[in-house]
Amino acid sequence: MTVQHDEMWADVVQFDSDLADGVWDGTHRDPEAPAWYRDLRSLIHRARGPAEPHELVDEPVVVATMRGVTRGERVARLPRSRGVRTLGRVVAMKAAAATTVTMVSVAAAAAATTGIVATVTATVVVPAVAEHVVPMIGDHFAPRVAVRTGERQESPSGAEPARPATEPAATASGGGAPAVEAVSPTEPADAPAATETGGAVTPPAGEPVAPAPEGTLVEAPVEGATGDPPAAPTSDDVAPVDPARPDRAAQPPPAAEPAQPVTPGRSAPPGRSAPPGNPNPRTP
Amino acid sequence: MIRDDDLPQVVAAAGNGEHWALTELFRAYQPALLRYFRAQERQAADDLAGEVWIAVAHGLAQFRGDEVGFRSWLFTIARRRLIDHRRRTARQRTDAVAGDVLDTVDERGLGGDPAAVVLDRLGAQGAVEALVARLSADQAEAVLLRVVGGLSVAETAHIMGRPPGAVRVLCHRALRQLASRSGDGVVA
Repeated sequence: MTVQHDEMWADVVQFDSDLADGVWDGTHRDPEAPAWYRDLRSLIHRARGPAEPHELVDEPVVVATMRGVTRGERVARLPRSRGVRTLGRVVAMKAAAATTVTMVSVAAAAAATTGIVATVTATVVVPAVAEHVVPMIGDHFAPRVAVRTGERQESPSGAEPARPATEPAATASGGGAPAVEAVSPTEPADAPAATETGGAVTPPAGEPVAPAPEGTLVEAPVEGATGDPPAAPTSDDVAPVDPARPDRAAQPPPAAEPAQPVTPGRSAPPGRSAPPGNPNPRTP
Repeated sequence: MIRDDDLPQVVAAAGNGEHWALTELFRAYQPALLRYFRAQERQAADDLAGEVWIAVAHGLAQFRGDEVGFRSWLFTIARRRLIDHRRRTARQRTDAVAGDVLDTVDERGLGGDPAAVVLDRLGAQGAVEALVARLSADQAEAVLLRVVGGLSVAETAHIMGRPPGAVRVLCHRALRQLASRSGDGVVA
């Protein structure tokens, strides 16, 4: 029986020291040896194979250190191996990248709060987007803003006046750059345009703005904060940052009135509110 | 491997700080040293090998012996460094091994179709790890010293601090373990 034979063969190896040495040296050749021994022999030959290049990468460092030791230098430990150094470098790079991302995120949040982001947007984001992103976006896919003719320049939002359509489009992404919110056709004409901190709006570069009759909707480009003098700010909007004074942050809009506490199921009358200590007047 | 006749001369020159001799020693024994360490302590293998070479450099001037004696001395130092390292790291030992790594080692074993082992795909280190995968620590060490170190039973027993008969038993159990993984059903 083959299994019995193989088992006996394995047991014989234990008691025949020469055979065992031949087995573990990979030199024993026995036609009656079990099939698995051929694989074992191949593994042994490979395990005792010649040096591979990656195994000798530390040769310069080790040999130099050994040379120093033989000449009396006191060395307790080698510099870390090249592989470890490489790993450490990768870890350091990842840590640096994570730190950078964190710092940029925090700075962006702080800038969005203080309004500095408009300056950052004007000086960094807008030119980069105009140069790289806008050309890639086809005219058909570029979102546009509809405003009513005649009130674009007089927008009470404090947004900057429209630039010529041939200028590079401005895109405010994720920041507080003043941008005109899209006006719904159903929205009243005198509704103040709000500023928004996000929402990129990009007109197609080079597209002329056709004159339109008064009161009709046209697609107008929205400019960013680059270069153009800001309009007079109103109390309802975030003041744009003067591009000429990037260090001066826009003042945040006045905070809205705090919401009055409302008793669930029973609204307080106008001008009255529930006592601060007891929001529910029914309960003691 | 350095020839037996040449070794005393090489060792003597290396003990005097001769660059060529140190390089020859390093090239001859570093692969086996690294394979021995990587099969047991992959993370620290390179550092441990470096420590061994420093210890060798310290003792080169006092070494007397032939090639087998040098190899035995080298792996004696290596085993001590390995034990020291394990003692140092015993408390904070949190080596996490990903599942795919374990699967890879498992695939490298002798299990399944022997042809599927794809020996050509294995490097030397892969073959070493395939040999000692699923062996106990003692069995793996005995096999490593015998196969990678090229040491005899007596030398292996001396390094491991065990009787030669115990090393033979360890190797025999390792052999049966390897056979059982071959899928032939040699060992139930």
